[in-house]
Amino acid sequence: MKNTSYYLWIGLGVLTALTPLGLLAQGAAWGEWAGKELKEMLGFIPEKLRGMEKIWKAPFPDYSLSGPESTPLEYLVSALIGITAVSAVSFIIIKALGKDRK
Amino acid sequence: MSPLWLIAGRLLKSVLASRHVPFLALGAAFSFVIQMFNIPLPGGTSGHLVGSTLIAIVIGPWAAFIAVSITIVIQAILFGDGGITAIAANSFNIAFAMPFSGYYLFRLLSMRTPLDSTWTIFSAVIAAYISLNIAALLVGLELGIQPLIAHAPDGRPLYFPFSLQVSVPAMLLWHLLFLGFIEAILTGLVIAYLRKADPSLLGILHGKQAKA
Repeated sequence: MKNTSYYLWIGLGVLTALTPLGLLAQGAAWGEWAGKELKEMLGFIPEKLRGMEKIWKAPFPDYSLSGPESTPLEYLVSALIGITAVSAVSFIIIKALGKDRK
Repeated sequence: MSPLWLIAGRLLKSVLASRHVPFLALGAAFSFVIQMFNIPLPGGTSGHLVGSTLIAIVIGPWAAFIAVSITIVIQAILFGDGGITAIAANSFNIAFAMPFSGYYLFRLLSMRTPLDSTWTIFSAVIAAYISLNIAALLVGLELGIQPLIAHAPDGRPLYFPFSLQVSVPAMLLWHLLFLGFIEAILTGLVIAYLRKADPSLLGILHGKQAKA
């Protein structure tokens, strides 16, 4: 019998294949608005938030690889990039902790 | 937040059994994927699940703290989601408060029952529902307190614009009515599966063994 984590990774794969469903929701999560959305809501962007969006330029903003909005395929690829990135960081942390122990 | 990450790293070193190693990556990946399912909510907003309590029940709260923190950092750096300036707050809410409250609630509820009883599943379900709402409440409090402590002389908010009376109900309403139940069901399903497939996995972390 394969070990449990094997089946859990399979389950994760199924969930990943379904991630484009996450694009069905149009609005941002409450409180997670972009400057543009705040401007529409309030008529202004709070002073200290102005310019904050510029302090970091994410390579894949809003899970889109090109253009302003993510397509279902881009969203799926973003999920795979994300899984790869978090797994890599996890393994690096585990490696680092393990080396320390010896 | 950084002292907490250091403590977590140190503790993790001592509790990391070799068979749990892949689970840190699995936990982080699960957290990442589950948060991508934006669920449309009335009023033009959306919500998402978190999965932190489920992760904590399986790999322990300190490992869950690290796993979900990794996800939050990657979301911010690669995808501009959550945001660099919100990493600490987001980590406190869904990587720390949620998995710890959920995990200990689960332990408390399932304390007197053997792992192979159905009550284990219900304990996880209840813990997931409550801990998600604790996290949502924290988000509401942290956002709503901002106009109170940071406003211009003319009363204009400098950071977050809505008050506690708006932010707390906004965050809690759909988590209490809807998202909490989805989070709970998902958690219950996975725990039910693990209880059947590999009860030792749950047993090791809880210091008790399922009956053979």
